Amino acid sequence: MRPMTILESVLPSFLAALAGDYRVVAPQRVGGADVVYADWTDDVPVDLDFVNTVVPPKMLFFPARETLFHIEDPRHATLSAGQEAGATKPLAIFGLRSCDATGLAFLEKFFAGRGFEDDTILARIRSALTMTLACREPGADCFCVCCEAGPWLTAGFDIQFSDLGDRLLADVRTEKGEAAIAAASSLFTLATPEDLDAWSRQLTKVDATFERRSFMAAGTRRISLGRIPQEKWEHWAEDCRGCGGCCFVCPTCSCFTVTDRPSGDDAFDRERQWDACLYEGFTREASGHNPRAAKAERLKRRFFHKMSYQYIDVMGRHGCVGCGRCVATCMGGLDISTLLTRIHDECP
Amino acid sequence: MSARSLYLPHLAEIARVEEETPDTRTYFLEANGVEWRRAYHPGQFVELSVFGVGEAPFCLAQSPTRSDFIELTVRRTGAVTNRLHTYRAGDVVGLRGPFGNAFPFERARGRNLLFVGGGIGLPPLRSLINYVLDHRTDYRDVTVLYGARTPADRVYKNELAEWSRSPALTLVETVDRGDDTWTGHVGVVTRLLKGMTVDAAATLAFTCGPPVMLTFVVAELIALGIAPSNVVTTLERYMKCGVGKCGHCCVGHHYICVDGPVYNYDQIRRLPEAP
Ligand SMILES: Cc1cc2nc3c(=O)[nH]c(=O)nc-3n(C[C@H](O)[C@H](O)[C@H](O)COP(=O)(O)OP(=O)(O)OC[C@H]3O[C@@H](n4cnc5c(N)ncnc54)[C@H](O)[C@@H]3O)c2cc1C
Ligand code: SF4
Ligand code: SF4
Ligand code: FES
Repeated sequence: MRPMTILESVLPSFLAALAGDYRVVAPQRVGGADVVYADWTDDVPVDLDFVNTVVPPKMLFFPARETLFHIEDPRHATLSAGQEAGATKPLAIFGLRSCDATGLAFLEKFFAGRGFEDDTILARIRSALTMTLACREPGADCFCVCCEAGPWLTAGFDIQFSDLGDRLLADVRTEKGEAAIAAASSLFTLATPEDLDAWSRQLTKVDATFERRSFMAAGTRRISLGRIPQEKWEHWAEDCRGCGGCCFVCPTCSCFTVTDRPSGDDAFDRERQWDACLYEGFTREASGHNPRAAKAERLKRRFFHKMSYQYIDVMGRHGCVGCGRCVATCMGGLDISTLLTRIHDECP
Repeated sequence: MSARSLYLPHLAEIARVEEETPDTRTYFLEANGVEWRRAYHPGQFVELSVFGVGEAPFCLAQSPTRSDFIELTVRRTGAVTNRLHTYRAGDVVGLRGPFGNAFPFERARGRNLLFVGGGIGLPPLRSLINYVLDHRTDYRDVTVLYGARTPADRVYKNELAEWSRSPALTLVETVDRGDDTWTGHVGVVTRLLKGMTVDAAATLAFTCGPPVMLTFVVAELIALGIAPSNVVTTLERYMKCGVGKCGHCCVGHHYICVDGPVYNYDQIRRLPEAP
């Protein structure tokens, strides 16, 4: 489909048109600069000027806590479905940032990998309509450009919107995206040569605004080859509070734990919950033995998982999309951007 | 049902429980509804659910050639295993699996096989040993060395007695501390290896047991001239999902639950983290 435009003023009508087939989610300002994804309703203005959401959109597909199934009478075990069982509509996300769309594709590949498909999570991702919003200027912590994940994309979305002032340009790449636009065709017009020109100028300008740094490649090399002295890891790890925040806010982090939580008289929910490799108990075994008892080993683990060639080989890219959330979250300066810069500067 | 294929266990009724040692029992699980009952490989494991407490990984302790039941031998250590030890015949548990790779039983064909087990390390080896006994002509000499702390800590006492009488294999046992009835060797299992003559090039060694034992046994096997790639073990890691998703079992870029748990020492040496 050729690029289309839609007036910003009728954007709510477009989202309303999608609401028949989809559960429509859009960024909403909840206070100050804090923006979150929430169910869209037409009384809330669509925010086009946010940097990014506090929590990544992974929470919509891989919730922080979810019931896998219910258990009654544990010793004799009657099990029943955890939830909706396909009853909910697929998601339509408007305003997904490029970094997060890349992160979502990463999660899709992860949950489909190693011979086992997590069908619940994959169904949520694969049925979703992803409508990204290209970024015009970097946020303070953003470095997507160093991670091949933004500020605008050439693939990996259904529709990519670019803000041209009073109108948005829609770059449509999939049949799902075309169908969504067709359902509200009266709201869209074919982009004019002037629109295309403005779009192209904007992309060029945006590219120039983002600083390309070399710390990612250097960090990957040194981490993969084990070139970082142990004393460095130990020194850096002193500042890790073990809060796990970096993992929870990361659009590509996927570790979880499973617990049986009491839910009533002799009844339990088997729940999956986000977990973090920076937690001391993440690898502690029943015997008390813990192969990653030292904080330094856990920090090293996170960076190896995110950045090493060994994982890039499997996943096709490194595990950071440069969204900058861990930069904003980590109080010890152990986020990807800061620590890779230190690796670059301190570990030749 | 959501995530049915991955996280929803099969229900299995406990048919029989056998006391192996004061803290270890073998559970015979009714496996009629389990389609992989005879289609797993020695070395693979299952995730066992004790509902209301949780799930934990256990190796399939019997050879698929003999699996009228799914057999798991479980030592009491923490939450899941303590609750399981209160379970009796008729109680129901959950099973997901079979997971993980397998012992290289194809590569073992035509070779001498040397098994070295310590304590609760015998169950995974027993699955392969019985598999080998059921395909006995495919293999050459079979030797089993088994060490336990005391005579009471030996698992599969009846089977050990059968093996000791069988011409199909050589069984040598030892205990760290004997008692009045014990007439066999006393001392750690590595002592049995010292001074043994093996046809190193033709031997494949399998060893499972506590980490300290493994360190010494592996050193001894390599000293006997067996190549690290011919020394096979299983790696134990904290596991939750068994299907390469939860991230708990990762070592370097390996998911032990999918890529393992069976590894040889040439592979282990090359892992970027100590296992
Ligand atoms: C591949 C594999 C095969 C195993 N086979 C056997 C066997 O045949 N017999 C046997 O007695 N034990 C076996 N174990 C060890 C057994 O899994 C642990 O003893 C068991 O998980 C302890 O669970 P718990 O809930 O009683 O202990 P807790 O300390 O209460 O553990 C809580 C949870 O942590 C995880 N966990 C704790 N320790 C371990 C561990 N060592 N390995 C993996 N996950 C752990 C489990 O998910 C467990 O439910 C095996 C472990 C692995 C990895
Ligand atoms: S590692 Fe940090 S910057 Fe990279 S994707 Fe995760 S949260 Fe964003
Ligand atoms: S990292 Fe890039 S794509 Fe993500 S919000 Fe920042 S500028 Fe936009
Ligand atoms: S046990 Fe979950 S990834 Fe291996």
